[in-house]
Amino acid sequence: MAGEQKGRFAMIRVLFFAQLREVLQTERLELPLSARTVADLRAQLQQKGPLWQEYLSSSRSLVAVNQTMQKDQASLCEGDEVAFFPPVTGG
Amino acid sequence: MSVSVQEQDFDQGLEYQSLVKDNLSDGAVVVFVGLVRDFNQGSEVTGLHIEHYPQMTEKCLTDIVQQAKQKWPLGRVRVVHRYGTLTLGEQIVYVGVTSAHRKAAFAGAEFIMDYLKTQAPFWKKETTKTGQHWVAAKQSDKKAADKW
Repeated sequence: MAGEQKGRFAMIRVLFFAQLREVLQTERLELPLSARTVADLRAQLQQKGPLWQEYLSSSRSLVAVNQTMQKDQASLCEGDEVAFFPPVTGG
Repeated sequence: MSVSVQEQDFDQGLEYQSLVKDNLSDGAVVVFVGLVRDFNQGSEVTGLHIEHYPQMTEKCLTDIVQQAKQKWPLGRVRVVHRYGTLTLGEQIVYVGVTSAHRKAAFAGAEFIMDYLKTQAPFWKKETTKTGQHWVAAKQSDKKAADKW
C-alpha cells in the first residue's frame, strides 16, 4: 500500500437502484470515505435533504457492500462499492 | 453454468434436457416457471420492465443455489432469471432441481424461489393502462423466506 499522498482521499462508490434512483435523481456517487459503517453512511447521505432522509431509512432501503447484502453494522473500507435499493421484487 | 441472468427468453425443453441428460442417479425433477401476470396488486398490467444490479445478481443466485445444495441432497440445479422489457404471459424465471427422491427436489425448488424473491437484486416496474409504477415487495414473500 502506497504511503499517504497530499490531497489523496480514500474513496467509496455508492449506487442507487430502482425507485430510489428515480426519487433521489442520483444513479451513483463517488465519495471520500468518512463513514465507518453502513449506518454512518446512511446518516451522512440522509443529510442531503428530506427525500434522502425518508428513502434511505433502514425501513425503506436495503444495502449491499461489494455485491453482498449487509446489515447496518457492516464496516466500510476504501474502494468499497455500496448499493442502496428498495426491497427486491424479482422472481 | 447453473445460474444465468439474461435478457433473452429461455427454452423450457432445452433446460429440462440438460437436467436429465446422462443423469441416471436422480429420479425426481421439479421445475418452477414464473410468468408475467395480467393482474397484479390491483392493477391491469400490460407489460413489465425488470431492472437488476448486474454485478450482484449472478453472485446472489449462485449463493442461494449453494445454500440449497447444502441443506438438501440435490443433484443438478438450474436457475435462469430474465431482465429488461417483458410482455404479458412471458417467462420471467426458471428454477429446475433434480434429486434422487421427490422430497428434496420439491423443498429445494421452493427454498430457491423463496430466497430469490427476497434477496436477488431485481426490481419490477409495471406498465398499466394508468401509467408505470414500481411493484411493492410483499410481506408474504418475506414470511415465506423466514420460515426456512
